Amino acid sequence: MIPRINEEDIARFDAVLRDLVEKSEASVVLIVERAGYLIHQHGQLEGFEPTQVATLASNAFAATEFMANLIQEPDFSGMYQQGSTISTVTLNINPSCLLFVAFESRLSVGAIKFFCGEAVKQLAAQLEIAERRAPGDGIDLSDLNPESFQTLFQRDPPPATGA
Amino acid sequence: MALINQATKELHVKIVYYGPAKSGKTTNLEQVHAHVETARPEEKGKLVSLSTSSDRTLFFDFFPLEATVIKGFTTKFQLFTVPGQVIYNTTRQLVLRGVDGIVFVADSQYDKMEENVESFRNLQENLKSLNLNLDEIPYIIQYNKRDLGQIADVSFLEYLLNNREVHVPFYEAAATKVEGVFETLNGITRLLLQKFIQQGTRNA
Repeated sequence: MIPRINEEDIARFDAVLRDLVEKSEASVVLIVERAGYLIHQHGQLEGFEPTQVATLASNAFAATEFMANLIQEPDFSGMYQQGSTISTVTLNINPSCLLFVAFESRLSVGAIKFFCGEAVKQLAAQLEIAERRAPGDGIDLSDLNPESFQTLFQRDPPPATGA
Repeated sequence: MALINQATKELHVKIVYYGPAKSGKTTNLEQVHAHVETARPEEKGKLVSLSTSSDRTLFFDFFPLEATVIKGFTTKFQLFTVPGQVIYNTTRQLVLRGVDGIVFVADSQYDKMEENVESFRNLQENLKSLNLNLDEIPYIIQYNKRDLGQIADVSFLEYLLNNREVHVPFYEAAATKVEGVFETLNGITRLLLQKFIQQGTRNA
């Protein structure tokens, strides 16, 4: 289960991802929760939509893990997709999170994985800290009125028909 | 499980539309995507559909939707569908991981009753395989295709599908006409947020 993430965690995630991008020259790096939530990101890539990519990466990784189970392989720790201009690597951080990296295909995937190795350790350590943190910083929702979200989402008004 | 990011003031919630093949799960998402009123239309997320060449859902459909509801927290709802076809059961299990709320979309046509019941049973089995229990997950039922002929009475559908210890909310819908689609979406978000309020009150 994913722990509650606070400012300290995000600051640490940011430092690790920033360092990873600098060292590896990767274009974009994402921390993704396994249900598909984007937790944090660093870097840029034209036309890149991190929310969608996070969801697709987590589900694709889940599919490869399922395949691993079927062939009795206990450790599919990563997934590599080679492209002509951009390639991606998705790596296991811990049971709740993944690291997704998009990088120019001219770069060595071996080098990318090497730099990711240290980042994964640091991210896993921070997630462990978050998991151990006392749950005293929960959101106080006690004064929220449930009636206030009776119709959270509304249908847009139908277009006016011409006379 | 929902992700609470206190640094960015975001609450992430995953809702899965489940049900038999061709019951209208993808249509629900398409209609929400096409018609939801947003403050900033340019920021409306894309609808991602991983479908076969014949437009049947292969992996899932996905659409992110956000609203500010909880004391400054942006709540990001991730709406998913599963493939309804029997052969894609593994995929349904994958999509159910981390689910917070479920909309079971039933086909109201008489000749689909067996498929409805089988899909509901399959939902419970798949949750069990993930060490989850339907009793602990907010869910609602949508009786879709109410605009077609040869449909079962709602009382019969209720008898077949909503007969568990806890009676859950149900909504009649004709998703192709956007009827009942937003009522359903608001129904499940309301249940989910009420659950978070109860948990938050306990944790705070």
